[in-house]
Amino acid sequence: MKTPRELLLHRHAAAVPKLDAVRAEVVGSLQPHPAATNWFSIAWQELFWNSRRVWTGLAAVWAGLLVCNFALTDRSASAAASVMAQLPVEEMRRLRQERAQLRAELLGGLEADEVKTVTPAPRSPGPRSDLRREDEAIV
Amino acid sequence: MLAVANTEQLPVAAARNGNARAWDALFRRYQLPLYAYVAELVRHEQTALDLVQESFIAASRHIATLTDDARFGSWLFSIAHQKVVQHWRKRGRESALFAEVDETLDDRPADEAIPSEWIIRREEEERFLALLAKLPEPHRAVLLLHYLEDFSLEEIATVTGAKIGTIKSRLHYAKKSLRQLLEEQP
Repeated sequence: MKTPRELLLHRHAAAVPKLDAVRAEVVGSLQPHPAATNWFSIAWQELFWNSRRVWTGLAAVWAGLLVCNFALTDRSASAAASVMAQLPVEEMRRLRQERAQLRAELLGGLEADEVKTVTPAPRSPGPRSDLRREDEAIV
Repeated sequence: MLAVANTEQLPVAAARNGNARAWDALFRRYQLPLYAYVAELVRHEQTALDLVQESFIAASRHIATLTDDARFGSWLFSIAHQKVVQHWRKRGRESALFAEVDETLDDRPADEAIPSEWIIRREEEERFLALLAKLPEPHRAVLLLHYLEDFSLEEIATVTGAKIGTIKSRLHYAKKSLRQLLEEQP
Protein backbone atom coordinates (compact mmCIF):
# COMPACT_ATOMS: atom_id res chain seq x y z
CA MET A 1 0.00 0.00 0.00
CA LYS A 2 1.48 3.30 -1.11
CA THR A 3 0.50 6.90 -1.44
CA PRO A 4 0.49 8.34 -4.99
CA ARG A 5 3.73 10.18 -4.15
CA GLU A 6 5.50 7.05 -2.99
CA LEU A 7 4.23 5.19 -6.01
CA LEU A 8 5.47 7.84 -8.44
CA LEU A 9 8.87 8.17 -6.77
CA HIS A 10 9.26 4.40 -6.64
CA ARG A 11 8.45 4.17 -10.33
CA HIS A 12 11.34 6.47 -11.22
CA ALA A 13 13.76 5.34 -8.50
CA ALA A 14 15.88 3.56 -11.10
CA ALA A 15 16.92 6.96 -12.45
CA VAL A 16 18.55 7.99 -9.16
CA PRO A 17 22.14 7.01 -10.17
CA LYS A 18 21.81 9.03 -13.36
CA LEU A 19 20.33 11.92 -11.44
CA ASP A 20 23.23 11.75 -9.00
CA ALA A 21 25.61 12.04 -11.95
CA VAL A 22 23.64 14.98 -13.36
CA ARG A 23 23.66 16.69 -9.97
CA ALA A 24 27.38 16.14 -9.51
CA GLU A 25 28.07 17.56 -12.96
CA VAL A 26 25.97 20.67 -12.36
CA VAL A 27 27.38 21.27 -8.87
CA GLY A 28 30.90 20.71 -10.19
CA SER A 29 30.39 23.28 -12.90
CA LEU A 30 29.07 25.89 -10.48
CA GLN A 31 31.21 28.99 -10.48
CA PRO A 32 32.62 30.12 -7.16
CA HIS A 33 30.91 32.93 -5.37
CA PRO A 34 31.57 36.35 -6.98
CA ALA A 35 33.20 37.61 -3.79
CA ALA A 36 35.88 34.95 -4.13
CA THR A 37 36.80 35.98 -7.68
CA ASN A 38 38.52 39.13 -8.86
CA TRP A 39 36.69 42.10 -10.31
CA PHE A 40 37.94 41.42 -13.81
CA SER A 41 36.24 38.05 -14.07
CA ILE A 42 33.03 39.53 -12.63
CA ALA A 43 33.14 42.39 -15.12
CA TRP A 44 33.93 39.98 -17.92
CA GLN A 45 30.99 37.79 -16.95
CA GLU A 46 28.49 40.57 -16.36
CA LEU A 47 29.45 43.02 -19.08
CA PHE A 48 30.68 40.85 -21.88
CA TRP A 49 30.02 37.15 -21.55
CA ASN A 50 26.30 37.37 -20.87
CA SER A 51 25.83 39.52 -24.00
CA ARG A 52 28.59 38.01 -26.11
CA ARG A 53 26.39 37.68 -29.19
CA VAL A 54 25.47 41.34 -29.12
CA TRP A 55 29.09 42.37 -28.62
CA THR A 56 30.21 40.08 -31.44
CA GLY A 57 27.61 41.61 -33.74
CA LEU A 58 28.71 45.13 -32.85
CA ALA A 59 32.35 44.20 -33.42
CA ALA A 60 31.47 42.79 -36.83
CA VAL A 61 29.64 46.00 -37.77
CA TRP A 62 32.59 48.13 -36.65
CA ALA A 63 35.01 45.94 -38.57
CA GLY A 64 32.89 46.36 -41.69
CA LEU A 65 32.80 50.13 -41.24
CA LEU A 66 36.60 50.27 -40.80
CA VAL A 67 37.18 48.20 -43.90
CA CYS A 68 34.89 50.46 -45.94
CA ASN A 69 36.56 53.58 -44.52
CA PHE A 70 40.09 52.38 -45.33
CA ALA A 71 39.07 51.30 -48.80
CA LEU A 72 37.49 54.68 -49.62
CA THR A 73 40.39 56.70 -48.09
CA ASP A 74 43.02 54.79 -50.03
CA ARG A 75 41.11 55.19 -53.26
CA SER A 76 40.68 59.01 -52.93
CA ALA A 77 44.33 59.52 -51.87
CA SER A 78 45.67 57.46 -54.72
CA ALA A 79 43.36 59.27 -57.15
CA ALA A 80 44.67 62.70 -56.02
CA ALA A 81 48.26 61.48 -56.24
CA SER A 82 47.72 60.17 -59.74
CA VAL A 83 46.21 63.55 -60.88
CA MET A 84 49.20 65.44 -59.44
CA ALA A 85 51.60 63.06 -61.07
CA GLN A 86 50.02 63.65 -64.47
CA LEU A 87 50.61 67.48 -64.38
CA PRO A 88 53.78 68.72 -66.15
CA VAL A 89 56.55 70.40 -64.11
CA GLU A 90 56.04 73.84 -65.68
CA GLU A 91 52.35 73.76 -64.93
CA MET A 92 53.09 72.86 -61.31
CA ARG A 93 55.53 75.74 -61.02
CA ARG A 94 53.01 78.17 -62.51
CA LEU A 95 50.33 77.02 -60.08
CA ARG A 96 52.68 77.50 -57.11
CA GLN A 97 53.56 81.00 -58.21
CA GLU A 98 49.92 81.93 -58.62
CA ARG A 99 49.15 80.62 -55.19
CA ALA A 100 52.06 82.53 -53.61
CA GLN A 101 51.01 85.72 -55.39
CA LEU A 102 47.45 85.36 -54.24
CA ARG A 103 48.57 84.84 -50.66
CA ALA A 104 50.80 87.92 -50.77
CA GLU A 105 47.94 90.06 -52.10
CA LEU A 106 45.61 88.88 -49.44
CA LEU A 107 48.08 89.44 -46.59
CA GLY A 108 49.15 92.82 -47.91
CA GLY A 109 45.55 93.98 -48.28
CA LEU A 110 44.83 93.01 -44.71
CA GLU A 111 47.79 94.97 -43.35
CA ALA A 112 46.88 98.06 -45.41
CA ASP A 113 43.29 98.17 -44.42
CA GLU A 114 42.39 100.01 -41.28
CA VAL A 115 39.25 98.92 -39.78
CA LYS A 116 37.23 101.83 -38.58
CA THR A 117 34.59 101.18 -36.07
CA VAL A 118 31.92 103.80 -35.76
CA THR A 119 30.15 103.84 -32.49
CA PRO A 120 26.85 105.72 -32.35
CA ALA A 121 26.70 108.63 -29.97
CA PRO A 122 24.74 107.80 -26.91
CA ARG A 123 21.38 109.40 -26.76
CA SER A 124 20.44 111.39 -23.73
CA PRO A 125 17.95 109.58 -21.55
CA GLY A 126 14.43 110.81 -21.83
CA PRO A 127 10.94 109.84 -22.78
CA ARG A 128 10.44 108.12 -26.17
CA SER A 129 7.85 110.73 -27.13
CA ASP A 130 10.61 113.40 -27.06
CA LEU A 131 12.69 111.33 -29.45
CA ARG A 132 9.74 111.04 -31.84
CA ARG A 133 9.21 114.79 -31.72
CA GLU A 134 12.86 115.42 -32.54
CA ASP A 135 12.58 113.13 -35.55
CA GLU A 136 9.47 114.95 -36.79
CA ALA A 137 11.23 118.33 -36.39
CA ILE A 138 14.13 117.12 -38.52
CA VAL A 139 11.76 116.03 -41.28
CA MET B 1 10.63 4.96 1.95
CA LEU B 2 12.05 7.92 0.04
CA ALA B 3 12.22 10.47 2.80
CA VAL B 4 12.88 14.11 2.04
CA ALA B 5 14.10 16.95 4.19
CA ASN B 6 11.79 19.58 5.53
CA THR B 7 11.48 22.64 3.28
CA GLU B 8 12.37 25.01 6.11
CA GLN B 9 15.68 23.24 6.68
CA LEU B 10 16.86 23.64 3.10
CA PRO B 11 19.99 25.79 2.72
CA VAL B 12 18.57 28.21 0.16
CA ALA B 13 20.35 31.23 1.65
CA ALA B 14 23.70 29.46 1.50
CA ALA B 15 23.04 28.42 -2.08
CA ARG B 16 22.21 32.03 -2.90
CA ASN B 17 25.69 32.91 -1.62
CA GLY B 18 27.24 30.44 -4.03
CA ASN B 19 27.83 27.56 -1.64
CA ALA B 20 28.27 24.43 -3.77
CA ARG B 21 27.43 22.07 -0.92
CA ALA B 22 24.16 23.91 -0.37
CA TRP B 23 23.32 23.51 -4.03
CA ASP B 24 24.15 19.83 -3.79
CA ALA B 25 21.76 19.44 -0.86
CA LEU B 26 19.00 21.32 -2.66
CA PHE B 27 19.36 19.35 -5.87
CA ARG B 28 19.57 16.07 -3.93
CA ARG B 29 16.30 16.92 -2.19
CA TYR B 30 14.40 17.72 -5.39
CA GLN B 31 16.08 15.63 -8.07
CA LEU B 32 13.77 12.62 -7.94
CA PRO B 33 10.39 14.43 -7.59
CA LEU B 34 11.47 16.85 -10.30
CA TYR B 35 12.55 14.02 -12.56
CA ALA B 36 9.29 12.16 -11.88
CA TYR B 37 7.30 15.25 -12.81
CA VAL B 38 9.21 15.86 -16.03
CA ALA B 39 9.36 12.18 -16.99
CA GLU B 40 5.62 11.72 -16.50
CA LEU B 41 5.03 14.64 -18.85
CA VAL B 42 7.60 14.03 -21.61
CA ARG B 43 7.65 10.21 -21.33
CA HIS B 44 11.26 9.88 -22.43
CA GLU B 45 14.03 9.04 -19.98
CA GLN B 46 16.95 10.84 -21.64
CA THR B 47 14.85 13.91 -22.44
CA ALA B 48 13.68 14.04 -18.84
CA LEU B 49 17.28 13.81 -17.58
CA ASP B 50 18.35 16.59 -19.96
CA LEU B 51 15.49 18.82 -18.86
CA VAL B 52 16.26 18.22 -15.18
CA GLN B 53 19.89 19.14 -15.82
CA GLU B 54 18.86 22.29 -17.68
CA SER B 55 16.54 23.16 -14.81
CA PHE B 56 19.34 22.76 -12.26
CA ILE B 57 21.67 24.95 -14.31
CA ALA B 58 18.98 27.60 -14.78
CA ALA B 59 18.20 27.54 -11.06
CA SER B 60 21.84 28.04 -10.10
CA ARG B 61 22.14 30.95 -12.54
CA HIS B 62 18.90 32.71 -11.67
CA ILE B 63 18.67 32.15 -7.92
CA ALA B 64 18.64 35.94 -7.52
CA THR B 65 15.11 36.01 -8.96
CA LEU B 66 13.78 33.86 -6.12
CA THR B 67 12.06 36.28 -3.78
CA ASP B 68 10.89 33.87 -1.08
CA ASP B 69 13.32 31.16 0.04
CA ALA B 70 10.45 29.07 1.40
CA ARG B 71 9.12 28.79 -2.16
CA PHE B 72 12.31 27.29 -3.57
CA GLY B 73 10.54 24.04 -4.43
CA SER B 74 7.73 25.57 -6.46
CA TRP B 75 10.24 27.96 -8.06
CA LEU B 76 12.41 25.03 -9.18
CA PHE B 77 9.37 23.16 -10.50
CA SER B 78 8.26 26.25 -12.41
CA ILE B 79 11.67 26.31 -14.14
CA ALA B 80 11.29 22.63 -15.03
CA HIS B 81 7.75 23.25 -16.25
CA GLN B 82 9.01 25.99 -18.55
CA LYS B 83 11.69 23.63 -19.86
CA VAL B 84 9.00 21.06 -20.67
CA VAL B 85 6.93 23.68 -22.46
CA GLN B 86 10.00 24.80 -24.43
CA HIS B 87 10.76 21.18 -25.30
CA TRP B 88 7.25 20.67 -26.66
CA ARG B 89 7.40 23.98 -28.48
CA LYS B 90 10.49 22.80 -30.33
CA ARG B 91 8.59 19.71 -31.35
CA GLY B 92 5.52 21.56 -32.50
CA ARG B 93 3.49 20.67 -29.45
CA GLU B 94 3.21 24.19 -28.20
CA SER B 95 -0.37 23.90 -27.02
CA ALA B 96 0.01 20.63 -25.13
CA LEU B 97 -0.14 22.16 -21.67
CA PHE B 98 -2.60 24.83 -22.72
CA ALA B 99 -4.94 22.54 -24.61
CA GLU B 100 -8.64 23.00 -24.20
CA VAL B 101 -9.99 20.18 -22.11
CA ASP B 102 -13.37 19.46 -20.68
CA GLU B 103 -13.43 21.66 -17.60
CA THR B 104 -17.06 21.87 -16.61
CA LEU B 105 -16.51 21.58 -12.89
CA ASP B 106 -15.53 25.15 -12.05
CA ASP B 107 -18.37 25.69 -9.62
CA ARG B 108 -17.94 22.46 -7.76
CA PRO B 109 -15.92 22.34 -4.54
CA ALA B 110 -12.41 20.97 -4.88
CA ASP B 111 -11.43 17.70 -3.27
CA GLU B 112 -9.75 18.86 -0.07
CA ALA B 113 -8.14 15.52 0.79
CA ILE B 114 -4.40 15.76 1.21
CA PRO B 115 -2.35 13.54 -1.15
CA SER B 116 -1.06 11.22 1.56
CA GLU B 117 -4.59 10.25 2.55
CA TRP B 118 -5.18 8.32 -0.63
CA ILE B 119 -3.62 4.92 -0.21
CA ILE B 120 -3.36 2.82 -3.32
CA ARG B 121 -3.55 -0.90 -2.93
CA ARG B 122 -0.73 -2.95 -4.35
CA GLU B 123 -2.92 -4.52 -7.02
CA GLU B 124 -4.07 -1.07 -8.13
CA GLU B 125 -0.63 0.47 -8.51
CA GLU B 126 -0.05 -0.38 -12.15
CA ARG B 127 -3.56 0.61 -13.08
CA PHE B 128 -3.23 3.91 -11.22
CA LEU B 129 -0.09 4.80 -13.16
CA ALA B 130 -1.64 3.72 -16.45
CA LEU B 131 -4.74 5.80 -15.79
CA LEU B 132 -2.62 8.76 -14.75
CA ALA B 133 -0.89 8.55 -18.10
CA LYS B 134 -4.24 8.71 -19.89
CA LEU B 135 -5.22 12.03 -18.31
CA PRO B 136 -4.90 15.16 -20.48
CA GLU B 137 -1.50 16.82 -19.93
CA PRO B 138 -2.80 19.94 -18.15
CA HIS B 139 -4.67 17.76 -15.66
CA ARG B 140 -1.77 15.36 -15.28
CA ALA B 141 0.63 18.22 -14.57
CA VAL B 142 -1.60 19.62 -11.83
CA LEU B 143 -2.15 16.20 -10.27
CA LEU B 144 1.57 15.39 -10.32
CA LEU B 145 2.45 18.65 -8.59
CA HIS B 146 -0.24 17.95 -6.02
CA TYR B 147 0.89 14.41 -5.34
CA LEU B 148 4.65 14.83 -5.58
CA GLU B 149 5.14 17.95 -3.47
CA ASP B 150 1.73 18.67 -2.00
CA PHE B 151 1.92 22.16 -3.44
CA SER B 152 -0.89 24.58 -2.63
CA LEU B 153 -3.26 25.71 -5.37
CA GLU B 154 -1.43 29.03 -5.47
CA GLU B 155 1.93 27.32 -5.89
CA ILE B 156 0.60 25.03 -8.63
CA ALA B 157 -0.83 28.09 -10.37
CA THR B 158 2.60 29.74 -10.17
CA VAL B 159 4.35 26.65 -11.53
CA THR B 160 1.97 26.13 -14.45
CA GLY B 161 1.17 29.77 -15.14
CA ALA B 162 -2.59 29.14 -14.92
CA LYS B 163 -5.25 30.82 -12.80
CA ILE B 164 -6.08 29.41 -9.39
CA GLY B 165 -9.69 28.73 -10.44
CA THR B 166 -8.46 26.72 -13.40
CA ILE B 167 -6.07 24.76 -11.19
CA LYS B 168 -8.86 24.03 -8.73
CA SER B 169 -11.05 22.78 -11.51
CA ARG B 170 -8.34 20.65 -13.11
CA LEU B 171 -7.36 19.10 -9.80
CA HIS B 172 -10.92 18.21 -8.98
CA TYR B 173 -11.54 16.82 -12.45
CA ALA B 174 -8.33 14.78 -12.45
CA LYS B 175 -8.91 13.27 -9.03
CA LYS B 176 -12.49 12.44 -9.81
CA SER B 177 -11.55 10.85 -13.14
CA LEU B 178 -8.86 8.74 -11.53
CA ARG B 179 -11.13 7.54 -8.74
CA GLN B 180 -13.93 6.74 -11.16
CA LEU B 181 -11.61 4.83 -13.48
CA LEU B 182 -10.11 2.88 -10.60
CA GLU B 183 -13.57 1.97 -9.29
CA GLU B 184 -14.94 1.07 -12.70
CA GLN B 185 -12.19 -1.29 -13.76
CA PRO B 186 -11.91 -4.64 -11.98
